[in-house]
Amino acid sequence: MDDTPYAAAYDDAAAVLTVSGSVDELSGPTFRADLEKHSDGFSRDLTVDLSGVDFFPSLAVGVLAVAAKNARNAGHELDVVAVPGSIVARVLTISRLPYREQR
Amino acid sequence: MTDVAGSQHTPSYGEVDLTTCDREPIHIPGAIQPHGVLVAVDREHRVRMISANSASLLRVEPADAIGRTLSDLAGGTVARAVAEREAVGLPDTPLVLYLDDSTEVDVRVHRSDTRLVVELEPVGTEGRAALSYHTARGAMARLAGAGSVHDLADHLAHEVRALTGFDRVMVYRFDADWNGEVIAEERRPDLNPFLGLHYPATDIPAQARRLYTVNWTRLIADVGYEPVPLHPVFDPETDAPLDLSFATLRSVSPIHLEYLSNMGVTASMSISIVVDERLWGLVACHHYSGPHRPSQDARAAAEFLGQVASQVVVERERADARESALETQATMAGVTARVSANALSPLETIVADPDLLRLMDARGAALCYDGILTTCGVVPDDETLRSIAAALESPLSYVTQTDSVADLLPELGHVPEAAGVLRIGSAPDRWLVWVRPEQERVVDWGGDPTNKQIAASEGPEVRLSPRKSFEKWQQVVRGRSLPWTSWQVDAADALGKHLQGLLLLRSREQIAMAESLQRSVVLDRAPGFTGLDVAARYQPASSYQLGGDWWDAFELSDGRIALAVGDVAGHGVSAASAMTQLRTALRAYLYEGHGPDECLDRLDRLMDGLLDQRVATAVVAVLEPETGRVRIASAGHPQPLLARGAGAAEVGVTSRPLLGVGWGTSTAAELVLEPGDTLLVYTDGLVEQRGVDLAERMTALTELAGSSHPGPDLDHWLDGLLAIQGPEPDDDTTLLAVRLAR
Repeated sequence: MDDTPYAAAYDDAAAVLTVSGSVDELSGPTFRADLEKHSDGFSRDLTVDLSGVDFFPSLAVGVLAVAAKNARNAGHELDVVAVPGSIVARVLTISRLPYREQR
Repeated sequence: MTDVAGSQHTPSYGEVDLTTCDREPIHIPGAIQPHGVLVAVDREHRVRMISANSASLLRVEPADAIGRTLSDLAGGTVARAVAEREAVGLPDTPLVLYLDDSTEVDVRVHRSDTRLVVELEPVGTEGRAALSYHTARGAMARLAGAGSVHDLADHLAHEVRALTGFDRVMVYRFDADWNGEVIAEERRPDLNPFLGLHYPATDIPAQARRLYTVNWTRLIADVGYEPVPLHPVFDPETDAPLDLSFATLRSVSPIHLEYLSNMGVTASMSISIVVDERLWGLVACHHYSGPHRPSQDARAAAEFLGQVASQVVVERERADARESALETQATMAGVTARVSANALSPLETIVADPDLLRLMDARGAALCYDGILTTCGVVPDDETLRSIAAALESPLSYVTQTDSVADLLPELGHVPEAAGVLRIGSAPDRWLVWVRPEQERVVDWGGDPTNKQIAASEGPEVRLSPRKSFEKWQQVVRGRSLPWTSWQVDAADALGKHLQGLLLLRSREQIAMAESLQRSVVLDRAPGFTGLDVAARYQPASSYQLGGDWWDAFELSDGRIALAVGDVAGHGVSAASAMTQLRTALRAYLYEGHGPDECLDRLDRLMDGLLDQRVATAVVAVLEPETGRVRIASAGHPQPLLARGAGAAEVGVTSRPLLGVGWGTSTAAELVLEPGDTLLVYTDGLVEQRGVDLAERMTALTELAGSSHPGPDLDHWLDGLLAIQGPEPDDDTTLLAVRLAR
């Protein structure tokens, strides 16, 4: 179970940020910056697809939670997508952060 | 030989055009200017060659002069003086003598191959008030007292104009590519200024520069002069033209004369400034109001001042550089002092420093630390910055720089913000760069540097205009920045090393400080409570980074025992500091009598309001030792485990969202600890590890907790559970176990 490096791609038309790889100590700040950038500083809704993420420790949860909070405070939604049963889904379940199951 | 206009000046090699003037053998023109007579004699001082104008001064036709002695031709006074000079090694000092007819002449003697060349020139009418000892000393003192190169050049232009009476005297400095710039000027008030104008290297071709390096003074007394051929043009002994490199009367290139007359110049003189045998610059003198011929004395004095300036200029250049270096050092001291004194991270401080850009005369800077970019000023986009930094990375050098990114990375195309880049750093993802835009300097060329090619390609009919226009011609230098100076490179090196040292120091300080902080609030071992066994473990992360874990166990005023385990997301001092605040706030809420669920909701609001941008998870329990009744609540935390009999299972608390998000409500669960039951709360460090499936690890932990069944020693049991971790845990880990005392 080798981790792959963090990568993020943004689909402007659909407003979907697709993240893959490992969101760890090193890539955490980049993840945070990506969330902020692609939501225009949380001034619009953003979908974050974490289906391709294979490492999502508490630090990553922290980044996501703060972003979700900032979005909500600004009257917007951070729509998180995860694969049921995946590590991301489990971590989000434990943290009680809302997410949508990938269809 | 055909008599074409251009070749009169240079009968020895005929006509030169613009495409060949860079190869023109200007030292052997075979002709002189008409304001004097040149005589070349053999070892016996018999005339072998003489300028065709000999009759004007010596009253002898050239054909009649050949073979006669110098004494016969110019009189005994001149012949004796020449012999004396030859005997003492031909010194270059002015010599003024009288011909037999009492004409006062300047005499110069030098050797050219086997010939002794004697130049006779009627004493000039201008600048007769030559340098006396007194005025020379004054002029020298003024030159020597000049503080900077520009100051020196100003003085030199002033002194030379006072001596020679030219309408305009300029000091002209060459750059590394032999382009020149007018750095000082003294002129007749009605003339338009040339100060600051640049001239392309092609204006003074290499062979002219070579000549200027050995012969330091040239005079063209009348730009419209009729050249005088030598008689004969070729030396009868060698069949070669006489080398006139050191002759003051040498006829100059017709191309140069065109150049001058296009500028309206009627007479000109130049004095070389030679530093370490390299042509540093010229004192260029122009006259616009007809012929102008300063006396040999005045010329010699001007040349002498040029030599004085040559000596002084190196020292002044060093002084200018020293001045700039000192200024850089002073700025640098300010920057390092501010960075050191600031409690924030040196990396944040350096990018925000007001002098960071001024230090390097840069317009922008970018810091990359562990791949994260922070910029200030005017910089290109992130991707371009990263490409440039990558291209400049060198395993051999901590500091690297370029003043032409276009040459380094042609594929990048035009990057106007970063034509020049100075980089420090030894790792691909940790570096600092300063960027400079394209040289903003708009160069005012004294003539279009491409004109020469245009004129040549237009055909022979435009040959007579090497410079069609001397209007100011502007060219924006493309693609290059001003070069980085050696002291800026040194300062970058020193600054980088200072930052590294500071970072190392800070990280040690941080660790030490936060460790003591953590030790002061998170107890080493659990306190003893009547009727309860409580054990706890705290295991730091292997990276030495401080975690945000804590645990707590204390007695409430009504005798119940409060237990807590929490985990602030993140690492470092700020996470540890947030942890201490949460722990204290939780203690306060619990002590006030709020239930675990209420306490968590309050903590959530507290974090949301006061510890913005941080989140945490926690489990809080309140236990009655007498009854074993436990109220327990969780906020985004891994489920507590209950070990009972031969098994263990999750308690099944309905968790609220993690703390700090500002939404959600806690629901407390109730359970009763039977004698022998052990409640275990842990942080995710125990189960979360890179490369390990979280669910599998949690299942394994539950099984281990059941199968290893806590014996009399709870601490021992916890140590056994900790062993489920790999050898190098990524995160800090906390375990808290409680059971009723037997």
